[in-house]
Amino acid sequence: MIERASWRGGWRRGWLPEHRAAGGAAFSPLSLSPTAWYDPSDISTLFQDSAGTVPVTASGDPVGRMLDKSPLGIHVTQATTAFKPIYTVAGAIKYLLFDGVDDILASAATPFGASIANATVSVAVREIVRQTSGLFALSYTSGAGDSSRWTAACPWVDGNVYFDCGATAAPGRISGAVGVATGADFIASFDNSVANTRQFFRIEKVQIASDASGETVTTAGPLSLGAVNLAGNFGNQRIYGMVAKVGTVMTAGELSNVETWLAAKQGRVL
Amino acid sequence: MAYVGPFNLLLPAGVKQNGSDVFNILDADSGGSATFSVPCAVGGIAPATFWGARTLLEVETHNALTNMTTTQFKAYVDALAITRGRTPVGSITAFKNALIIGDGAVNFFTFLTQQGVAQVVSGL
Repeated sequence: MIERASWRGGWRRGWLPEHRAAGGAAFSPLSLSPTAWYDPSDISTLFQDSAGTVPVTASGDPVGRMLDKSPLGIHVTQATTAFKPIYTVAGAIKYLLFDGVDDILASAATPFGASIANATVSVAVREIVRQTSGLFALSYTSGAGDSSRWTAACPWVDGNVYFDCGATAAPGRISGAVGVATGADFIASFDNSVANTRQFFRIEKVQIASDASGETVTTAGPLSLGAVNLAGNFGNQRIYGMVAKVGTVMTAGELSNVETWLAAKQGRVL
Repeated sequence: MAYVGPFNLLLPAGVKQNGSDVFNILDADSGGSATFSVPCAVGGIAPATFWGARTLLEVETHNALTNMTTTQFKAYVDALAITRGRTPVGSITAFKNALIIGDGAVNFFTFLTQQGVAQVVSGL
């Protein structure tokens, strides 16, 4: 009812024209059948405790459970209050603030099954302090030699993005400069596909690095946000949202729509 | 639950177990025993001689940690253990006396520097 009235009188925030896919239809990440979708701007998906019994109600609350809005229900949790990101509201913008010390949200292990051969992930993020940071993982346990990694350090302390699928050397790893200053919002997208024999990542819709080799990663760890594992390398960052498609990759059009949709969560047009 | 903070915390390694037992009770969620997870040492060189954390604290817990005497704090923790169904802890004296609580407005790693230690770092 409110949205209909708003459509007649002009677009309200959240349904601005830039939030719409090409062709004019309202875009939702749900339309591309995501396998994981986290949206901190939807407070109904956030809980203070890991069991999901105490809802987040105000800026400054810890987040111990964030529901996955995809049909798969890969919810991410954190049972230690010290490790919980903080739900933060700044005007109309809402995000999770990860402290770069110990904060991480993680799913149960291997939420996508025994291996990942094709996946695309897009994340809306702002780096606050440049340090040895992980952004997310679709799988990772621990250690430099961990071949179960499907991870993004974005950026690492040296200003480079490291996108690792199964290894920390080529062809599993591709890297390149993030090219975004600390304190600025950006959208980072990662794609690895055996079917398309490619691996690439892009920042703000601009491809930064790629190769012509897709990797099959035998998974072992959980999906995580805010870091890649509990052993360290936590990101001091804001995360405004994340959309992942695993099993198949996003089309170019889907990825662009997701990136535009995520940038709107930052109050930007991309 | 109402929270304040976050705060930077630091605890000597010798008191870590006691601190973990106490935070197992203080944390409203089930994972409080893991609170002190950041290994620290002079120059960041292992082994860790301190353990750090950055965390929100419940208002009541912050008051208990900063304003209560050791005896009062022990009574508070014991009562909370019953309320939350957590394993009671013995003496809390070492933990209460050794815990350093820093201003959360200060970057955690700056806080560590101010305390004369650095994080023991591992690679990605």
